[in-house]
Amino acid sequence: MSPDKPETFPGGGGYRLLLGNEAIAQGLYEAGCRVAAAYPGTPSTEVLQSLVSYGADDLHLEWSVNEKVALEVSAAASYTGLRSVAVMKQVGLNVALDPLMSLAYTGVVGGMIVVVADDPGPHSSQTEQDTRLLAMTAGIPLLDPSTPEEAREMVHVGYQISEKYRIPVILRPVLRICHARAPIPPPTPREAGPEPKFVKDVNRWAATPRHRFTLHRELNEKTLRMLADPEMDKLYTFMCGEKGDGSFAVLASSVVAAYAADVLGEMGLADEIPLLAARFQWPLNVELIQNLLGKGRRVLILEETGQFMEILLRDRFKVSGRWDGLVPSQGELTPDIVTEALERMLVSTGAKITLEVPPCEPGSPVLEKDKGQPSPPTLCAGCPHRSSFWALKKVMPDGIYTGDIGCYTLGIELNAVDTVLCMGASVSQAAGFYWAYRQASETPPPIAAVIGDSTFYHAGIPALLNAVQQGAAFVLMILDNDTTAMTGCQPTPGSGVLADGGVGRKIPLEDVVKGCGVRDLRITDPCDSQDILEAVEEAAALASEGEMAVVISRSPCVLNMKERQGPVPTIDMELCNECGICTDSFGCPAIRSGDEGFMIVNGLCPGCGICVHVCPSGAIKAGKDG
Amino acid sequence: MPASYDIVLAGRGGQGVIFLSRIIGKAALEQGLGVRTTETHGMAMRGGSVQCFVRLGSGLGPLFREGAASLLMVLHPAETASGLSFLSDKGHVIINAPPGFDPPGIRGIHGVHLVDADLMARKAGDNRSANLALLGAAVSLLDGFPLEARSVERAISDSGSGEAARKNLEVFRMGIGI
Repeated sequence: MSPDKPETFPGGGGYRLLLGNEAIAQGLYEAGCRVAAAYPGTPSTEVLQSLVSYGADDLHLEWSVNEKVALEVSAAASYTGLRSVAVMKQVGLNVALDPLMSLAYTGVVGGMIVVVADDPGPHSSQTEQDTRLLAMTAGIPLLDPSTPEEAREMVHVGYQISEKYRIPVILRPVLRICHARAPIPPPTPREAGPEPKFVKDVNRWAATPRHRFTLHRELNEKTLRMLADPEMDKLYTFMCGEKGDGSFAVLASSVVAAYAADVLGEMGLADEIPLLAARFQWPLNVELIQNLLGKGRRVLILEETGQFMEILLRDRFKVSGRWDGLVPSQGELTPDIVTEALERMLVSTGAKITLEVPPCEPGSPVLEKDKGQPSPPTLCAGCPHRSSFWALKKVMPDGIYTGDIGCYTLGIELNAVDTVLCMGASVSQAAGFYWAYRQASETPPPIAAVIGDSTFYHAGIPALLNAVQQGAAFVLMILDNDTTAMTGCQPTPGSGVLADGGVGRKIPLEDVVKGCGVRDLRITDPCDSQDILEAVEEAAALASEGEMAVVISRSPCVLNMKERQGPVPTIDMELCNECGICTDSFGCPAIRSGDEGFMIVNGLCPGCGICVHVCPSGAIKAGKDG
Repeated sequence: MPASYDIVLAGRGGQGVIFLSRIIGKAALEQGLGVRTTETHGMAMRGGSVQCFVRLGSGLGPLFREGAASLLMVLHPAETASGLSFLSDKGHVIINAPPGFDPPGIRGIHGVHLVDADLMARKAGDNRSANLALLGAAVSLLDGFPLEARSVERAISDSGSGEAARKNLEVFRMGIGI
């Protein structure tokens, strides 16, 4: 574990360079997980994807419709004695929190792990929420790995804890575990498990409030027993400086413990400053930690993303971290931030340590003017969503556009998304805007909600049912590209494909929409600019008359197209007046403006041809086949 | 000599930045070197800026401090400045750019190497393999670069179908040949 003793990995030893998520999948395969359910979400998606690749016959895998469903499917499998897993990102746990809170009381039989990927940064999420706080709220044990290797090992540890205490266990890899690659030893043989057998126990599995009181007491007793279990003590280990007599100690968890080990090594302090990694975060063994670190010694807490250990350690006057400003309260804790916190701690404790190796100095200061803005993500060239947004803006230029979670959040760049709250909120917020204006006896402005197919199945259905039943009227555009594109093209209920590529029942979007009580539905092809314009015009007219109008804008994701859509258009610079609509308002990345006017980049353009209709000057000409 | 050889890869979504980090990692594994990498997915893709971090040798965390990197490999010249703060004062920069290109922000760095990787990739008939020309250049140009051509070639052959791997190998060798 010591950072100054590099391990070597013999090339022939069967080691594989795996993502943390893939390492977790390997652990699940090895441990004999029999039911795995997930909803895709960065940074958690690769766990289930990778688990598919093992091709285990005795394993049910599914992309569930949402995280709540995934957790419930997984829980019932565990009731029968099988090992199971539910996988989600941290905001997905918000959706699944209802069953999780209750499951903490009922407990489980077979080992059950809930993998929840946190996203400090945040890099791909609405919030930086810290799953440890939800684990504490629910009373569910939480394991916090520092490396991909540990993440795999903790799958095994997690199942043992889960079965010993009959409680689900959360495994919380942060983004820099999920999306870090490290050498992982070859898989061990898959463990055999019991045959499924559900033993009825109505006072547990269907407990009424009276029995819930008993179950709550049982949960509290489990927590105390876990704290007294010497097996759990093994999850608190020194990464360096165990015998160090430095003026302070470091308590860290998640990938931040690995950074702290690296930085202390680079600073030459690995022998002086003790670094304790706490991999068992809930219930946190505060007594053990204080004994290991030495009572009376000051402690720097390094943890992502919230205040957790910092709050739980009792002696506030000895603890430094976020509360006294040594550690920032938002964003990733990078090695640079860890270094700065350690340096400030050294200064404030008056440590008499001469650094063996001075901190790194950046090689060349980059001038502010040279830094430039990072290139923002954009909808792909040829993405059918671009055309859908273009039609909406053309027909409803003064509309309120409620957006949702997916690639099409990038409609922000096209000024076609005004709100993004969470999964499914485009539909309910459109209704909310409608009622806000209606209750004031005003004519509501044109309102359009835009949601992708996968997100609609996930959380849009109850919102639409509600809006229709209440009598709200707006345009709902469902972007149906037959996939969950943002996370790497997982199937949706509408695709009729299962997680392992097998054939599943196809549930067409239009059937669901009609089932929600919608009377006015039109299906359009966004790659036919006339067709989509007409569809949006009709829908907008109906909505203004007080009817809910749904447009399904259906075209496959450009990432899934094997062939070009058509020939590459050309720009006639004689006709072009350089208005910039094609590059800015339409925002196609395959169209560039330069010293010689506008041009279409051959290698980037898949030939969707929509720009031909978007150009108000008629300067973009349809390409010729061949 | 630092305990680890740290590399930053900077480019844009779709350029194969992550693929390049995997080839480097596999080649390191082949040589028995410790390796850790990290990358950004999801919203960071779709043509947006992408950075990958690679630590060869020791190290438990996949990220490193500013000023620590021995090498910055730039797949898209506009991304040069984004990775510079991670470079050490003895570090090298290899940029995918035609000769004579003057990327912003690199004044004062002694080890700047321009490699027309896009051109090499076009010659091989696969625009997306430009990343491997930069790796070839690193193998041939840099003293102390820990990876050997043989292990990189095995990593490339091991990653991808016959035709794609063949083109990738061809571009890697063009990069070595400069």
